[in-house]
Amino acid sequence: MKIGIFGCGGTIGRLLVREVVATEGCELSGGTSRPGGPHIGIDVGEPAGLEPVGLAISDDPRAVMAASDVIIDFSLAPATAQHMLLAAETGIPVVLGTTGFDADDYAAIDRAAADAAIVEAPNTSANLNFLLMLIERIAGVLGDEYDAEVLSMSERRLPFAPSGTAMEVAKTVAAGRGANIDDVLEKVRDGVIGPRPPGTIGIAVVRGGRVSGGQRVIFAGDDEIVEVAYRSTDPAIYAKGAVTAAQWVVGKPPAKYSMRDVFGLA
Amino acid sequence: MKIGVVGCGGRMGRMIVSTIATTEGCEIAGGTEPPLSPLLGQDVGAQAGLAPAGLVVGDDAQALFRAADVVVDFTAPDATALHARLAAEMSVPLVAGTTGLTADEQKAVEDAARSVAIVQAANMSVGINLLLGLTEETAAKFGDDYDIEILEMHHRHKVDAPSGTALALGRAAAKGRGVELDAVAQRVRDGHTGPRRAGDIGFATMRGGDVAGEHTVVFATEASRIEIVHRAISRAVFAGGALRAALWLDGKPPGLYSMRDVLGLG
Repeated sequence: MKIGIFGCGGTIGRLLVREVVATEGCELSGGTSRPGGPHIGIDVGEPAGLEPVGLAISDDPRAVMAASDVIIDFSLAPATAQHMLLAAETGIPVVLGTTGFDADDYAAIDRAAADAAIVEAPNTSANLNFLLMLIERIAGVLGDEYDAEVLSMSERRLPFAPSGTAMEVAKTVAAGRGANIDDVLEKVRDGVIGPRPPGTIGIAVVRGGRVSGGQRVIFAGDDEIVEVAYRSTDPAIYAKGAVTAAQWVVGKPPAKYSMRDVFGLA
Repeated sequence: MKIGVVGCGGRMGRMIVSTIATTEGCEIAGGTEPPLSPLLGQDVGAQAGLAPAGLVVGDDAQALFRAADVVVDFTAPDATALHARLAAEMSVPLVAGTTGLTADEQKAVEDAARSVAIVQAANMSVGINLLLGLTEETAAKFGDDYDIEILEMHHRHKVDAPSGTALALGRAAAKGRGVELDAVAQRVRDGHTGPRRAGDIGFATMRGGDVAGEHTVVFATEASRIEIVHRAISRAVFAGGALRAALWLDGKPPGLYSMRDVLGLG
């Protein structure tokens, strides 16, 4: 299976290159980086710390897509709309690990999913996705008499907040309650905020460190608190999950899929 | 729904009475105490520290069952066996939270459950039952490359360790893995322990202050881990769970049910 990587010079992109090269049955078909960026033209293996693989990093996602059975996209949100158009045009499936989307980006993803299989994958860790399944069930059982708060930590360089994972966690709590996240999300608290409105889902964001990340969901009732938490210490698990998703999505009919679909975590 | 409370003057009984007053859809049908109880003749609400309910504490359980849609029982083992028979005779469902039943008394409950719906649980906390179900399920899903550890903390007066709930969580994890807890439990670690044995379930105990009870189940593997946590705040949590069971029983066919049935955890 020929796998192309969009954003192959980034933190996860480099790990993806290593993971694809190390995975039996997978073959690297190319990589892209930001046009005008420092990686264009160098060997795809170089940022990943590998021996040259004989492929130059390209600024042309169309060419890489044409050479691939599936794309893993860990690039930047502004490029996503274009990548989605290409996927729709070619029918090549995409594992979309990019985060930080706006409403237009989400609309582009939904449109592409009519013509190509897209795995929307804000977090590709198998364990995090298992936790999402638990979170949905817990939220359903406890209901909104238990105040739900998401505490999310990401590495210091992440330039937007909340992270894609934190939003996925909050959406999952809302889904478990049968609510729409847009109606109940409380993203920031500062100053005289008044009492907590019932039924809301809060997100508190912390930043620090180079690789460590974690999510905690607190369901606080009057007389008891239930919490679930996930921590990761090695981003290689995200590359592993993304390659698993790429292998899974090839041959799937056009639709938008989630990582929970990939891992069978309904 | 009209709820009768047998043993309404006990610690749990009073808490049930006061939780009924604040739970939507619930109404107190009356309360009983054993013959010779000094509470006989007092107001059911007043003796629980509430406004008078206009109902007098009596000693006629049969009359209470007649007036109630469902009866909640946190009394004594011999009384619970009797109440189960009454529930069956009068076709009034029962929530039984009494612990320490003899084999004969338990059989009386099971016999009664052939003709009326009974929820029986040693611990009625919604959160703890959620934790038990999710722990078993998570242990079943993950293999031995996930190390399971159970951490508990209670107030300084607690005399046994690990707590009964910690051991119940351990049994749930062992059951998920299809093993006996006794064969894999590591209840203490001290000195040169050697490396952790795959498949063990470890316990760690903390004691201090007035902590009502906290339990954490950790599933740790390479590069990531998942935690499921319960923090008890007050004993009212058991009353809340009992009322949830009472409401759930409405219209249920005869049978002996658990809190996991009530919570839809299968």
